[in-house]
Amino acid sequence: MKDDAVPASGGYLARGLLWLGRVTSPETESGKRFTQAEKRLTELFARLAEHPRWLRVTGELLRQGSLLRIRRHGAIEAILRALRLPPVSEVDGLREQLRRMNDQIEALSSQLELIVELLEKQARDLHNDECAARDVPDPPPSATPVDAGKG
Amino acid sequence: MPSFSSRFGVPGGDATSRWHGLGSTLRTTLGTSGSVAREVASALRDGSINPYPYLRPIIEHASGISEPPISPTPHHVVWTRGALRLLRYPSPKRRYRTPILFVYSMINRWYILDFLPGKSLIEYLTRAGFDVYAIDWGLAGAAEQHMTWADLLGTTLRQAVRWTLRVSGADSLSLYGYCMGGTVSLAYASLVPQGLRNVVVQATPVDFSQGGVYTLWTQEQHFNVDSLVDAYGNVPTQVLESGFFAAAPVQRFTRWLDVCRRIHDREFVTTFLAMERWGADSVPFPGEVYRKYIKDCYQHNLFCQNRMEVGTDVVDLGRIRCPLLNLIAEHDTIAPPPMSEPLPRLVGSRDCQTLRFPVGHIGLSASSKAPKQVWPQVAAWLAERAAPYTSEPDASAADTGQSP
Repeated sequence: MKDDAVPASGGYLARGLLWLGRVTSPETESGKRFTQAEKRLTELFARLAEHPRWLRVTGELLRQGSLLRIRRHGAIEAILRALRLPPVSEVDGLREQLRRMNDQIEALSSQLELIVELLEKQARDLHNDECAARDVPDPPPSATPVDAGKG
Repeated sequence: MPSFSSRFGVPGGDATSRWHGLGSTLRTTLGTSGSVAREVASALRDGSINPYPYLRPIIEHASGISEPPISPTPHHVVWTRGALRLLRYPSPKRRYRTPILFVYSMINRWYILDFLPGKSLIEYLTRAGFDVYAIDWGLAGAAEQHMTWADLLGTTLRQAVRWTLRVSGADSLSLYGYCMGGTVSLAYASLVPQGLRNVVVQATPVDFSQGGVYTLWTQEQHFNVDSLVDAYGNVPTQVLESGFFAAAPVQRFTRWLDVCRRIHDREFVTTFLAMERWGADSVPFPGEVYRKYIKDCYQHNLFCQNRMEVGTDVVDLGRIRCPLLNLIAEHDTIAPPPMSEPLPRLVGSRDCQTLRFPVGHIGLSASSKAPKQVWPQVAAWLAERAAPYTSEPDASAADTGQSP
C-alpha cells in the first residue's frame, strides 16, 4: 500500500531518509560496502558476546551497578523525605494504584453483569419449572429490569 | 536551475502568495522539527537503550503515520489481581464452548498476540468462533516483587483459569502458552490438571541447556541473579532490554534502514512501528519468579528433568495427559528448536503433536506467513479438540459476550 500524501513538514525528512535508505541498500555500491561492514561487525559482536572475559566483566559490572543504583536511590529518597517532599517512588506508586483501581472497577462491573445474568437465568429456569408443574402456558417474554436499564 | 520556490515546494502564484507559502512551509517545518527534537530529547532523558523512542518521532513525522492502537480487537477486563488483568475477547459468532486462555511471557506484553487488525492471532481465533482470554501480567510493582512460583501457579493462574471457565460458562479450557508463558503453562498443567482440556505451547523453552547465548549468559559464574533481585526487587526493564540488545546489537539499528527505504509504504511503516513499539515495551520481571526461573531453569536445567520444585510439589511433565500441541519456530533465536523438541518425550499425553514453521520467535504470532500457514493449523487443531457451542436462547447474549 503506497501513499505519497506525506505532510509538507515531513517532506524534507522523508527525502533525507529515502536517501539514507538508498545509500545503505545492498543494491548500490555504497550499500554493498555497508552490508559487508554490518556482517563483519555482527560477527565481531557475536564472538565478543561469548568471550569468557567479556562475560566476567559485564557480570561484575551488572552486580556493581545494581548495588550503586540502590545506594544512590536510597540517598535521594532520604533527602526528599528530609525536605518533606514526596519521593518519586511514592508518586509513581500512587499513579499505579489509581490505574489498578480503574482496572478493578472495570472487572467488578463485568463480574456484576455476569452475576446478574446468572441470577436472571436461574429465575427464568425456576419460573419455567413452575409453569411446567402447573401445566400453564408460558407468559410472553418481557424486558427484565436489567434489559430495561440497558435499553 | 530550478527556482527557489520549486526546490522548496512552494506553490506558484504571485510574489506575495509565494512568500506566504514559504513562510507557512518554514513555520510548519520548524514547528515539526521542534516537536521531533523535543520527543528525541525526552527519550534521551529516559535513557532507553532501545532505538525506538529516538527514531519513532522521526519516522512518524517523515511518513505522516502515527502509532496504531494497542490490542485493537474488542476486549474488556474480567478479573484483576495486583498488576494482572484477565482480558476477554468475545467471539462475534461463538462456535466452541471450550475457551482459550493465553498465558504470555512475563518479559514483554501480551499484545503481540493481538498485533494489528488482520494480523492478530487473537482476532483470528475469535473469528473462528473461540471465546478468547488473555493474561496481561501488567507492570510488576511492589506487590509482585515477592510473588513465588507457588503463588503464580497455585493462586494467580489457578484463579485466572477459574474466572475464564466461569465467565465463558465452560467446564474446561485450552491453555495456550507462549515463550516463557509456555513454560509456566506446562508447569501449571503438571500441577493443576483440573479444568484443562488442551495445552498449546508456542516457542517454549523446555530443555534450558539448549538456549544458545541466553543459556551461556545466565550461567552462575557470569551472572549473579541473587544480587540483581536483592538490589532491585523486580528485574528492571533496562536489564532485560540490555540482554536482547546484546544478542543482536547491530541489527537493532540497521533494521531501521528498511523503514527509511519504504517510508512511503503505509502498511510497512505501520507494521514496523507497531513491532518496534512492542519490542521496546518490556516490563519489569517479578523478582522472586525471575530468581527461580534463572536458577532452576537456565542454571540447573531442572525443568525438563522433572526436578523443579514449586512449593511442596515437583513439576513432573509426565503428569500432563491432556492433548498437547507443540509449536516450534525454526529460526527462533530466543527459544531455539532444540529447547522445545524434547517436549513430546517428556509429557504423558497420548495425543501430542509438534508443528514446525520456517519463521522466527515472533513470526508465529506476527508475520505475513502466520495468518496463512500457522494460525489455520492451530485453529483446526483446537477446533477438533474443543467442545461445540450449543447456544442457549436465554444465555446467548452473555455467552457471545454481547450486551443484552
